[in-house]
Amino acid sequence: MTAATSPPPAPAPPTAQPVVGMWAVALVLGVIVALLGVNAAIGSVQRKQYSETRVAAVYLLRNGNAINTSMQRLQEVNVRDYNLVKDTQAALEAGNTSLFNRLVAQADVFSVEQRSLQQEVQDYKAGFDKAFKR
Amino acid sequence: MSTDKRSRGPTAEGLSTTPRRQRRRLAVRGPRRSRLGPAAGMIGGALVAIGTFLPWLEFNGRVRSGWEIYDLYSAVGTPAVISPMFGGGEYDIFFTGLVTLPLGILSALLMAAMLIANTKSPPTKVKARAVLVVSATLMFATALVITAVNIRTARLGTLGFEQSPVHYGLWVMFVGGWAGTIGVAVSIRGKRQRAQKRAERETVATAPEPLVTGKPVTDKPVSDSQPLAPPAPSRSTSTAQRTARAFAMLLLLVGLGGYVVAAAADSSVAKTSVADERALGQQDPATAAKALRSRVTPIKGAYDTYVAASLAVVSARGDVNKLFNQVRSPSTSGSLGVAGAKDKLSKGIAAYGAAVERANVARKAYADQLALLMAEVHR
Repeated sequence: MTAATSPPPAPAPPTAQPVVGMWAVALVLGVIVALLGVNAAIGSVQRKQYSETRVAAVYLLRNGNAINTSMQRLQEVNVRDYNLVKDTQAALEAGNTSLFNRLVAQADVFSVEQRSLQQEVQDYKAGFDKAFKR
Repeated sequence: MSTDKRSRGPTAEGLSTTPRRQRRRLAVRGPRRSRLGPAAGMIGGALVAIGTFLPWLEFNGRVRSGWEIYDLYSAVGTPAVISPMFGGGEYDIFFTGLVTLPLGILSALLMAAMLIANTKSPPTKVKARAVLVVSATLMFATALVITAVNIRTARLGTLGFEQSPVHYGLWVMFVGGWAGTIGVAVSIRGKRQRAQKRAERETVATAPEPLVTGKPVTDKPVSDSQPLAPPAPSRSTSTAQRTARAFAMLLLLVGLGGYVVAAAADSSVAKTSVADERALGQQDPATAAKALRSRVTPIKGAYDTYVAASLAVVSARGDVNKLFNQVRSPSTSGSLGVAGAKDKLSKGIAAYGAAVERANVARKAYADQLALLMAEVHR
């Protein structure tokens, strides 16, 4: 008998797989932790949104009426200015240049108050946005 | 002697010499690997146990450890799990030191037992390791989740009920939980399997041709005491294990990421001042959230609309001014030119009036919505 005719090496016997399910356990735990983590993230983001809503609500409770007053005042000024503009246009149509010039000058004076109120409203809005996005 | 040699199969001669080197190599690598994981796990377990006695959070005006919180609640009769912890709402659950201390001690002991089990002979070692690894994984994962839940609950507690800053004890436990989990992961025998397979390949490559003994070679099973008994796990099993391991770690990271996102969101919530919270009263956030949002969102919408309309008024007024200047300008000469300028002015003034009217409508909408919120809060 020669080496060439010798039988092939015996295959290794199957050994026991003692850690069966170990990574399955890890996977299950991973799934649980992942679900908890994602759930926590979603819940927290919702709570954050709610918290922002609360902050915005608090801002509105404190400043809402003041904002409304500013808006009303600005509306009055806007209406007055609009009427002035209409009068100015009428003066122009009538060819009354002196009245036209006087009304334009008056509108310029009023526009200072108008711009001031506009700025106030914008400032309130900036404060509201800041509170909302805090 | 001859029986022994036969029992070692066709490569018996080769194995009697070459494998000794392999055995030595494995003997050096194995213990290092088998000690690192359990040692990290023991440290993790110890951190969880020690963290129980370190400051967890400020509660009822005092910084308390997990054990002190257990002590505080043991009189009430719910010492292990407190729910609600901060007065109600979602996720208001808290685990005291009574849960974390045994978890820390047990997991440390399990990892110590694993260290001892690694010195035993293979059959005992393998079985013991399997049980120990599964138990320790459960312990560490539980400790990790409990700590994460406690941190979240403590942070959420600041939303509407009580300031409860998280102190370092909980973070020590969190680190301990992760150290333990990683220790267990390292302890799992993936590397050992690969090392054995590599050694097996090297042995086959370097082994001499089997000697002719004149006797047929039997397929006798290899005993556990045989050096380098090839475990020969199938390639697909190994790949599946690697995939499972990677996937499990990925899921754990997803979970951790979720908690990080939650902590980041909650830390911004925690910045809400107590005075702000009191302005709305001590309502339960879970039940009040929807109602409050349904009031505030339309106001915000109306306010945004008003501001946009107000800016449109400014813009329209600017246009009117420009048109006035155009009409008055000496460059606008001729009846056709003047008529055209006047026509543009008329349109500009109409646009200005429409913008003022839109702003007025938006203002009224804002006022109406604000009145609803005021009525809701002051009811």
